[in-house]
Amino acid sequence: MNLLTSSCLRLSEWLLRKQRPEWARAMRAELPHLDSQAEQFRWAFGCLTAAIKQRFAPMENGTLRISRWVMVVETIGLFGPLTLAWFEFTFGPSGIVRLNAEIIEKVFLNQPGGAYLLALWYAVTVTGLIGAIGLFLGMRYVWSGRALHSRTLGFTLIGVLSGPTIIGAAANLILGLVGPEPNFGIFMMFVALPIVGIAHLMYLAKAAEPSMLAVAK
Amino acid sequence: MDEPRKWHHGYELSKATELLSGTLYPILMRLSDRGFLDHKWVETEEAGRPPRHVYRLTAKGVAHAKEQFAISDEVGASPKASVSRA
Repeated sequence: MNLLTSSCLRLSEWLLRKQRPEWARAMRAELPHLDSQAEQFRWAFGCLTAAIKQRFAPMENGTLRISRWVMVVETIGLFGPLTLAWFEFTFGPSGIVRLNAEIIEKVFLNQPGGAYLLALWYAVTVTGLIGAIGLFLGMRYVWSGRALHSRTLGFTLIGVLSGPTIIGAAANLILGLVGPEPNFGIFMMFVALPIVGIAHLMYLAKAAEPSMLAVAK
Repeated sequence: MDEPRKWHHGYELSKATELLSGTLYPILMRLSDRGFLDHKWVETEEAGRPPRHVYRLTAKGVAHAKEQFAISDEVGASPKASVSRA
């Protein structure tokens, strides 16, 4: 057995050590009966794939066993940046709560494209709140196992996130308004990833189907 | 399904179904969780080799498999194709 094969097996045993240790041993026990090293490696790599699938299966079924820590990392990674941006745009040194009529007139309305920038500022404040909502929903899933069951709420959050992006991009493109340059990183961090997070929370709310065909999923 | 109550080991099933271990074992685990599959450890005749895990369908599993085969026949798809689609 070469190093790669034994590493795959060790890793799969480690991944299944709590949930299904007997199955990890079962997969390993087949290895001496395979003829070539290449076949042994293919088998061991398959064991690793099976172990990873099993490790993430509880998450698909909406239970908490192993996946709660994965969900903590995911929730912070997907919703954290948007929440921080929302906090900064709302309560930061230039936050919306500090704006008054004089500042708006001087800094925004008297500048070229300032009205657009001001609208953008307000839009970020509203949509950014979804970061905080996502953080709450993700952590609620970790704590209680309750995902996002309301499809209406889920699609509303996705719509509110994607709406201003589409409108802003269209306005820039069609009207040539002055605004921030399109930035793929910003789009990913503040729009795409939170949408993925919400979609995942909605997916987790779906009940597993007990059909025989679903067994082979 | 030719000998549904015969015990088979994982590698044998992998070859018979043409499924790789990464696909086969999650299926076996689910079948076992749902009471469709029996499994046990058996000693091998070859010296120095560890015991092997063997599997066979339970009566409930055989009945359910037959039901699925019948459904597949009705819709004109092979059971294997149905499983692949799922």
